[in-house]
Amino acid sequence: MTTVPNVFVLLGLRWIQLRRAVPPFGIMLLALALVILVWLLQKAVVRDASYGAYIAGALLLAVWGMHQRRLDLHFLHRHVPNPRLVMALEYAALALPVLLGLLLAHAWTCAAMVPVVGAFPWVPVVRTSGVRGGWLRKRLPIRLFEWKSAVQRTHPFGLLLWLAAMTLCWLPMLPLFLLWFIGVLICGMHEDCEPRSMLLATAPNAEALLRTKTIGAVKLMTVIVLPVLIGATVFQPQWWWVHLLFGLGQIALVVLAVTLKYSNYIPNERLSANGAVITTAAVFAILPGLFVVPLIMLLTERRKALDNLHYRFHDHHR
Amino acid sequence: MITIADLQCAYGEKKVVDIPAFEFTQGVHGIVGLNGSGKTTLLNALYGFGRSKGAAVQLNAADLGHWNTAFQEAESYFYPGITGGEYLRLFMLGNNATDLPGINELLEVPLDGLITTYSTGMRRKLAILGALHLDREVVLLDEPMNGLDLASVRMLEAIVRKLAERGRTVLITSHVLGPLIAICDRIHLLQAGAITRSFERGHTEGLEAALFADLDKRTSEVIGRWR
Repeated sequence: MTTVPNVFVLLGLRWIQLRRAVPPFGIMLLALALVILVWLLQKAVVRDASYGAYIAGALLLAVWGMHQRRLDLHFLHRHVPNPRLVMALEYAALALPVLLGLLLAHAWTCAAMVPVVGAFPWVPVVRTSGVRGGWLRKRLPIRLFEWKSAVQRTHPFGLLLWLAAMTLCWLPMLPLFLLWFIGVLICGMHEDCEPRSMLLATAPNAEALLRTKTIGAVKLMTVIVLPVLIGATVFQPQWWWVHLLFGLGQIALVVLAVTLKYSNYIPNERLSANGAVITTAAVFAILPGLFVVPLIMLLTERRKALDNLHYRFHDHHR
Repeated sequence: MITIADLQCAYGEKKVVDIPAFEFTQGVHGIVGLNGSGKTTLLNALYGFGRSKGAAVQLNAADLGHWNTAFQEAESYFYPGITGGEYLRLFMLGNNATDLPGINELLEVPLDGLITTYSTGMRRKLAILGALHLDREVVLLDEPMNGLDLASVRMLEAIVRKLAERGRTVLITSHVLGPLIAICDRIHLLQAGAITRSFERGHTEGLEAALFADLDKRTSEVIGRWR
């Protein structure tokens, strides 16, 4: 039996988590999706060099946010040797597909920005104990507590992103990219599973729960994307169909996040592996016309989610 | 009255609860047993989960389950990023007849604060408030005293007595015998998944001896082998 060197302990753990959560065929699909992602990134940057800066910037922003919010930070510092190095390797693994895409497109300057992610574990993590965005969370229905949690974790950063998308809606692509990033942030909040008491208090049965969560998510996502997309269509009317398909893709993505959560729901657990599936779906959701991919994933997951919820609601006789 | 018939619960091949027939009358019932005796599994089964096929658990001839039961689970995990007040507002499907602000004046849970900032005791109190907020006919409290200070335990005793006065059936598990003896109308001894003895209020003299009889025998055997 081979022993994994200590610095790779976290990567080894992620691999075990992925194998437990996804069947071998799913891992092959994920690998394929990664190859496609690298190819798409390379294509996009070759087509328009300015995308390189957006992509590298978004990656830095995403990894920085992930580092600031990671739940196992104290655990790693207490119990893992070389915790910063271990985290740096994890971030490097996350950044690798983007780095490859940029290198293949010969975007050397943008590619040089990517290794900065390795320095994030040495950046101090700032955590506040106060309630964030009180005025905003009051407007969110209590049964969509994932969205309240999203406000807590991303406010005011998320709001600033949305305002930036709104004020820059006259630019091509950038507002869509910012919306996509907000969408990915929101989907990420659907990885935590509520305790059973909260699940049973949310709705009287499985169908009602999935319906409440799905309709709520569709409404809120529409409120987020619609103003920006209308603004973008006013300035680029010829791209109305791109905006329409993008909006549908974002809605499909958030519904997939909700469905995926309940198809794998285990009380009190964090479904980290869902993140990988959502990231794959998010790549397709940003490409016009390919939002059907999250929709197809949704069709397969919905039955699974209902079955799992039926079991959680009606396990009277095993 | 809760009526149990042919209730069995198992994890794989291992039978954890086996109660052929039992009745819990309206009032406060304590369930005591050592670790692994099946206390939490029994409460889960009353809540509607993990029962064997053919088991019948009824409340006044109607099926008993999570729709007419409030359950404060032993594990105090809460969804991250929400406040105590937001958590309680989720429990609006019940009658909500409980005077929650009044009870919280006693328990002093900071409902405007994030649950992640609560102490263990505060989390326990919030879970109890959630169960009370549902105002169901049956209330299951799994280790409610864990993490509570003496004052909070005293308040909990008063709250439980009030629930019984309002016609609720309350089942409490605990490792702490003192408060259970003070508040319960009956205390049931659970051993290897079966209710072996019940003790009426005021007649609990043999409870501790019965609970620890087997343990004391095994302990003295092991310690007796020491040189």
